[in-house]
Amino acid sequence: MTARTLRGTARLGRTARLAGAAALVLVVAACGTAAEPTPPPATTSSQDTDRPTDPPTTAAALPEVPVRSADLASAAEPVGPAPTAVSIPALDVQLPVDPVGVQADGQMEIPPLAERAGWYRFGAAPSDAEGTTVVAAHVDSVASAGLGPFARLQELAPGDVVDVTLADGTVVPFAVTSVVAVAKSDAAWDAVFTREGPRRLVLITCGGTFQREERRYSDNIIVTADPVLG
Amino acid sequence: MRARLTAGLAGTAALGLAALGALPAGAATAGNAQLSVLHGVPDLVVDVYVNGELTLDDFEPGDLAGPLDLPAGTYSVAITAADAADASAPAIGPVDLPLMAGMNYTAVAHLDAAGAPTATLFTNDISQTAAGQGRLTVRHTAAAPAVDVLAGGSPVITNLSNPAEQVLNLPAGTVSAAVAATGTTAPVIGPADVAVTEGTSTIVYAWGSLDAGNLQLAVQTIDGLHSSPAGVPSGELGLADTSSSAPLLIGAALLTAAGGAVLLRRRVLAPAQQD
Repeated sequence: MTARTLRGTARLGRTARLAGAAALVLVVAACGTAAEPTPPPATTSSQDTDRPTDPPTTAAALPEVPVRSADLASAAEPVGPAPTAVSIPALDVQLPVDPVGVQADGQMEIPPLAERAGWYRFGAAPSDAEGTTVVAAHVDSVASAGLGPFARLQELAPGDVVDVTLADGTVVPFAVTSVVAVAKSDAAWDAVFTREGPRRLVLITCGGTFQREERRYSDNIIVTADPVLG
Repeated sequence: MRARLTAGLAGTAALGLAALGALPAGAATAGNAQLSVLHGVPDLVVDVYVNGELTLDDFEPGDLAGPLDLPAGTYSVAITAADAADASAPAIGPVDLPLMAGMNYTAVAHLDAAGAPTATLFTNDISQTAAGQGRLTVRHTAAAPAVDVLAGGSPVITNLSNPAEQVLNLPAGTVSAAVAATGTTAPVIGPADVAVTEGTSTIVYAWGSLDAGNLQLAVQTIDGLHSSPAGVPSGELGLADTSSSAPLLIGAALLTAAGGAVLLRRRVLAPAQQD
């Protein structure tokens, strides 16, 4: 018990120092991505090459217009397999994951038990090519009568692996890039719940001080992780 | 202090992320308008000319073209039979479509209530949807009298007439929708399952002709209208409180929390379930 106490305390100190640096990494990563030129969309125009003897005319400048059937089935959107579990080997933490939506007050729905995490099902799924998979769990909850596994999220350090198991059985590994505490009043959720842009995983729980009157914490702990390539 | 510092940095990061994010899918690039074209005239393959130039060749009933990203301005659209040599003898039009920058439109070639071919320019609502909701728009573009739209058998839109529309913001899910003559519940179209996708505008067109027995639905979607949840309320007891009074608070919280959770100092030990 004593050994675990000391190790935990040491890791906490390291995490506190790393948090600032990790946030910087996030800024740099964002700027770096912004600087990359967007590749032009591929164009396919075979009509003119079929008739190479025709002189070019103004008609060739016609825009290519995508046309599709508007029947009801065309509106169905493909959805990647849902995450069913999150595993963090560095913390010896594993949680089952439930798909969740939005509470009546507009906040993200969180499973009552702190031992279960919720995946924001309206956002990206881990196998999607773009966007953020958001998984959140209570740091502590009434239903659990105690702390949950995500109470240890702040111990994570850049490079730590988070394995996400999907409904089809595949496991998608992510590597932590940042661990930050953000005051709830300052949280820029539009930049977290992205559906375009880089593919990434975000784990969220609560932290900071507990405001007893409002029965809520002052901060959110936000862990950002990028896909492990290969 | 750390919280304040990282919060500031996170704000900067958020700005960076916002800057690199593309425009919402439904929004036109600056100064441009977005235009889609729906063909809702039964049994008539057509060509579509925009400002005298052939833009859609052999456009089939029930097909949706676009969206086209066009500079704001007024466009003259003529719809001809598919074998016409040019736009000089249109079946519909020419009609002028005034397109304003930043707006999203759908031009629909369809039948009027009496069954004559016509065209209507609809402006699509691309304002953000609330988190967890989608937008369902129903447009009456069929040769038919006024209708009611039934969801799960109950009227949710009443007395909708050609070429009017009605917009509903609904929790995301699937709606079993049917169309009936207004004041009745016997479907003339459907019931059919319509997906109301979160953050997406789903536009359903009733088209065809009641007399000809070919009334049907067409659907257009505009995604990227989502907004984020207002917060992530992920703690209830205060056991992870970091303030100096935390130990006292933790003790009190644990005493009130049912079920023999072991007295653990915050973050130092894993919860009992982990051991």
